[in-house]
Amino acid sequence: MHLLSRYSLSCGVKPGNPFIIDKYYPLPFNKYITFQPFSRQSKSFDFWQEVLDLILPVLNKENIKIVQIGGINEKPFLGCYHTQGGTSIAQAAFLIKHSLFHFGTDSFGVHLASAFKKKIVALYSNNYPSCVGPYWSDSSDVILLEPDRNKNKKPSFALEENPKSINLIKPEKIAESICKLLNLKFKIEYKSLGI
Amino acid sequence: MISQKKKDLRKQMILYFRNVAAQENDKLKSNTEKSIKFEDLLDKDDKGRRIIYIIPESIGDVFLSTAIFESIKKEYPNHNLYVATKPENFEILEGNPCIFKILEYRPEFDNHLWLTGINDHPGHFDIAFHPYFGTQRNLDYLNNGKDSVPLLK
Repeated sequence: MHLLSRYSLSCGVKPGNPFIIDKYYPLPFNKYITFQPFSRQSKSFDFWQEVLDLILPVLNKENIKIVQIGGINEKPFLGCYHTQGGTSIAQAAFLIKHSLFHFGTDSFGVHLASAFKKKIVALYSNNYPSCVGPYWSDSSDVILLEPDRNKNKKPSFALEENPKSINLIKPEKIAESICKLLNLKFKIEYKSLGI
Repeated sequence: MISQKKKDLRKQMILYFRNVAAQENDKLKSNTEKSIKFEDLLDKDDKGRRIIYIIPESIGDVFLSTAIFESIKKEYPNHNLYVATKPENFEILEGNPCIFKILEYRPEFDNHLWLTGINDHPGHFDIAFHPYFGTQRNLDYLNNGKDSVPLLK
């Protein structure tokens, strides 16, 4: 069952809508999508720059910017507008609330985006998306990607993995999913053979 | 030679003052801890009307939890809802109209009987919810992601 269902059962009540106060954060543009690349080690994908390199030309044509959100020490990616460490939680909520779309790894940002009914592409590796994924979203609004698990291998449920199973997700699959939910044409002439 | 002596003296002085500062800080800390009793953190007028919801971490789980506070308040309209979590998550809860007070999570909160009472210990709360036991201590919610929860439909 989903985490929230588990929490609800513990208290004997049904879940409703979440609550968060959002606070204004200034941006020099209006048309943007939010991107939260990092979380715990096992949930952090190592090939985001490859994904960004694929989607940036498509987004640039539509004048859509990518706003990277996250903690102060998180690696900045090329082609993004960087807000890492520069926002409060309430300002991060504001950024996601006013974005066109959210993508990234399984993290707080996905729950916020779900609460604000944003379309989402998110990566899951160490747990089942049905247990920890976006709770308030319609299934048609989200694409949740997982690594191919051979021979019914199950998630590790670990905060650290070595090697990381999340890295088995192919960058072009992520890029394709983002463009699909944004209704943007995306054509790729090659595919990743191995990572 | 003189320069080296000066350097050593400076090092000794820094070390001395650091030690004094550390000792003073420890004294201050232990005095503060002694002077604040847990009961002092609770409201004086809500004995018999207190609920605590404990969710130590993480930011996402605390945010998810905000979705059930309204239902808890509806079920127990006369109770004050205290929410305990780690300080880094306080901001998520700020301004929430359902919450009476945010408390810093402490390990004693894992003890349900310390919170609600046993024998001569009257407890501090009437109701204590530990939703994290099944998700952050034991992982009893997974079931391969296949179980449905008809009670919540």
